[in-house]
Amino acid sequence: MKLLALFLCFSFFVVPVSALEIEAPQVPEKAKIWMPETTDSFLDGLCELIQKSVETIYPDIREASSVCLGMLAVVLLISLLQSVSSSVKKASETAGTVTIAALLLLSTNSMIHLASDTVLEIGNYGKLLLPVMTAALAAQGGISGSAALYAGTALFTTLLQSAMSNLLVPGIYLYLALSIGNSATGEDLLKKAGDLLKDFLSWSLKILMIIFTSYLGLTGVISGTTDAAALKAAKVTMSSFIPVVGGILSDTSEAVLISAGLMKNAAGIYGILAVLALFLHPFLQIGVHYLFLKLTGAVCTVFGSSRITGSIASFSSAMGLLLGMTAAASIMVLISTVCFMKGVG
Amino acid sequence: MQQFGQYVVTLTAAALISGMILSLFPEGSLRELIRLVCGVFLTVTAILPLMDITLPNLPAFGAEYLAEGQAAAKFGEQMAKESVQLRIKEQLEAYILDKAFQMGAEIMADISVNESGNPESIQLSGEITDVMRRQLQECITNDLGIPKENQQWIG
Repeated sequence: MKLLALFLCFSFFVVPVSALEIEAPQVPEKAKIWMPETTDSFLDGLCELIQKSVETIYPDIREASSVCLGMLAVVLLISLLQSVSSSVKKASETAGTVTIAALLLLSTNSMIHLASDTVLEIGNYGKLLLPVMTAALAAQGGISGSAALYAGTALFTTLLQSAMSNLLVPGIYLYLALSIGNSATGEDLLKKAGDLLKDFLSWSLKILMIIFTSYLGLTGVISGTTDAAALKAAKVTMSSFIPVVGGILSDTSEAVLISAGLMKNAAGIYGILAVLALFLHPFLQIGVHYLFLKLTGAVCTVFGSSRITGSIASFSSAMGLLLGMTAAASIMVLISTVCFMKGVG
Repeated sequence: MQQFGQYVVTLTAAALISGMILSLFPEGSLRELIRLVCGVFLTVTAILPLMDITLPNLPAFGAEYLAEGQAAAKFGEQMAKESVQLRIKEQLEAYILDKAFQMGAEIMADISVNESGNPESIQLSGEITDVMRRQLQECITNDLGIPKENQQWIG
């Protein structure tokens, strides 16, 4: 049943039967505004995409800077209060942590939603692009390689999406809760548990990426060699046919392979630009918040208490984790698309 | 993954609760006792769910995606084959029409090609003399490898 659905899915994106026609799925509606006008040249498309994304990032810079200025004011106020009277130190630190958390939770929450939506959208687009690239590579002779690439990419993309909703996003919320708890109470257990959770989350992502890239590398070498040998054997067999038919068969197969390769590359470039259109703007948005938090944390270290600056640092670490997740999702689809584009051999 | 995520969430929540409870007590013997209780609570929370965790069946999961990948590859292979067959058919028909034109005859040709792109049979129609027909039959047999019994003349 699933295979039937998959076949129906292909027929929407690949118009086959008599003509060899391969097209990447249309970029999702949300990312259409970032998509370059022309996708013929990858470099031009990429430049246009970056330009569009950078031009529209100013509202986020303003928002992040206003939040950070608010935080600086709070930390400064707490420091002033502590310098006037040391008896209110603990209470002021707790109040400061709660205020910082209240200031940052709203923007962090929207960034977490943005990151998880982006991972989901990239994964869903990847699932539409994958069958097209698989069919294109198979049309070019990479039959076993394309199937293995598809299986690996689909499996790891699903794993990342599942990890995102079940582990990474709840994990980030818990990490923030632990860090705020540590800053408010000064309890060492909370700090250690928070650090352990952060390390666990970042290592989970790293391990997933390492296994994925190793799998792609090994699959590329093993299946690529098998497919290249099969293709060479087929060409030798063709040229040993009756002169006229053998010649026509050989030339036609060569022409089909070349046209499949050209169409696959065009679909691949469009697919890469579409994934970047989905990824780049949210990544920059989260990146801006991350950088501003890092900067604020560094400035606050000069005059703020260590517990309050620690809570700012933990929010920036959470943003760092979000950046890692979003990047991992897009890198998975990008690397696999490049592997498909590399072709046979 | 859901079960594993739940485990991490439970463990972290237990650490959070323990930390919050500990922070309520000032340094002293009572705090040490509470610390011990929290330690036991955390250990139980960490160990107990591990007994129930079942590892996901990754090979079956991977096999499902491999089957999908093979279906997509088969589709691409079939698409390429059909494209090759169509182009070969067109080129061989053009070759025969060209041969006939050189002899001074105007005919129509319809060639059937098999899975691997080899011509199997041909249907020819049009006004042609017997000599020309024999010459063309020879040409089709020698150049395209279609035996005479698979060459059908209409009209």
